[in-house]
Amino acid sequence: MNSELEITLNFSGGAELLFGKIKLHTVKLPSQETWCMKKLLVWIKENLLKERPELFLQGGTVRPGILVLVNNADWELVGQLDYNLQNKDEIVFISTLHGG
Amino acid sequence: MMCSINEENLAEETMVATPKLSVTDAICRRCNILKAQVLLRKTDPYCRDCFMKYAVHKFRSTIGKAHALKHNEHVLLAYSGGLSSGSMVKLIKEGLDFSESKKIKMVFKPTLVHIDEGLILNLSKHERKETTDFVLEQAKKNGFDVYICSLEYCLAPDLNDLKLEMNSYQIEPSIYESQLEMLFGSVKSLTAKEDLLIRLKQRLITLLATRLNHAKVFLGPNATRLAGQLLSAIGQGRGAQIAHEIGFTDSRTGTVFLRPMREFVDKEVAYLANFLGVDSVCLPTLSSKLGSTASIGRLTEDFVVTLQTNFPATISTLFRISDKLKSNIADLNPSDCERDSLCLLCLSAIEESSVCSASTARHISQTFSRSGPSGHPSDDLRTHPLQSVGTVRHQDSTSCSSNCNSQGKPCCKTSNDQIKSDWSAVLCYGCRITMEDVKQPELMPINYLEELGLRSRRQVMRQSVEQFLL
Repeated sequence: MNSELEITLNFSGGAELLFGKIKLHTVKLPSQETWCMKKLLVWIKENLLKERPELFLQGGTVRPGILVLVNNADWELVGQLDYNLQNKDEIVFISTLHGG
Repeated sequence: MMCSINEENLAEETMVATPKLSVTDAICRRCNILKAQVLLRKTDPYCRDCFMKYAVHKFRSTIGKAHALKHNEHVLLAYSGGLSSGSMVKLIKEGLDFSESKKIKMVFKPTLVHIDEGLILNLSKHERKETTDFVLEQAKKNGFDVYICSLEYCLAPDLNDLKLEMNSYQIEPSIYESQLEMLFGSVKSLTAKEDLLIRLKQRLITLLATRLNHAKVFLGPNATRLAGQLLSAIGQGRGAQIAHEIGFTDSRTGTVFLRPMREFVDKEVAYLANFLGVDSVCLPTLSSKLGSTASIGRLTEDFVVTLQTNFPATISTLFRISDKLKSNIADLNPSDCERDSLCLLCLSAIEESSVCSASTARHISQTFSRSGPSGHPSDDLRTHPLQSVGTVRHQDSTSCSSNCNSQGKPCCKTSNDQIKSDWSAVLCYGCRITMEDVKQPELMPINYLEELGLRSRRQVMRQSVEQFLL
């Protein structure tokens, strides 16, 4: 088993403003432990988020108005925060708010 | 009791109104075959193909049922580079190419128009170039022609001298640049700034449409944005204009604005953009990266979006309400006389304040509270509280216009106060509030100032003639 979990993160619609204007991030996570979305969000907040965390996360989940897609499907269809990440997963965060 | 509501349990009962369905690994509810990728209204899973069919149908029917377009008509598409207008452009592109035998092709001739707002957002030349390059590239990809114009030209009297190049754009210094910066710099609150930006942008698009000989313009705001605007319009005293601001068509300016994306909520737009491969550029706005209390618009957006996540009927409810609202002034072709009763900024009808209107009450209480703790309100106000709203101002301007030369130059530049009181007579309530925050109204477009002088002189004339009429 691979010791790393490779995940692609894509921020768009203005969400990239909070991540140094970089849309595409490929991250490697240690795969000894299981990674659920909840854990990933905390990891993103600590490692990728450049500014104003309250504009991305609110109350342990993403702020209303930011749509999350896991492998092109709504994350509500795969269990939201409880979804366990798989290797090569592609996660898209689209901010639908005016001006990001 | 038939309609008894247990208020204590009301909150709880409404909270469970949207059941938490187990939608994990759901099947598309339309075709019942494929695995769902999209979840709408919290309960309806769709697969990608069915969602796209549904979205395309909705888009076409929104345009179709309004019967707003003629065959082969030229239409401007206002394209900001964001997700919503980007999806609109892409949907139109696909609609024009559509070759499936059952459906009819959309027939109109679109041209893109983009407004470069970088100046007031304090973006560097480089950042502005990046955005406009992106717009040019997207236009090329879709095979549409594009015109790009910088926001400062909204201050120009007309665009006849503007060098407008198709499919190319250079950021050029213009005489209006510093004027626009100073104008926005002089605005105190963000709410007023945002409102002023909307009005000036609308003016610029109208000017562009006239210059390019287009009678119709497609705008790209989606349902979520409009629902937020609906609430902020009420909050800013624009309740009477909701039908225009939110509805599918807005013909206040003479150029017809259409909003074909108005039936899509933000989630659908995001899906659309994702599935259509719409690339977007990050577009900062005046309120980007600011907290939710930065402006009324920002606050109402936050309110709607937060409510929508738990109650998916929020936006559609707001919409159904707004669709029932109508402006009480019919869309007449305003003659010269009637034009006097239109707001200079947003071109809505100015409501006549009657004896007991809310705006009169507000004006009176404002006059009282501004007079300070020791000051007495003027006798004039005490005796004729109503008259002071409209007429006293015009009496003030009498002296001004007698000195004025008749070349239509703005004569009221002498005193700032003078300008301000004159403004309030030609604006609707909402715009009046906005202009109160604009500290240097003399920086507004010259046509406005001319019209302002013209109207106040006409008003004075009317008043002086009135005395001789029986």
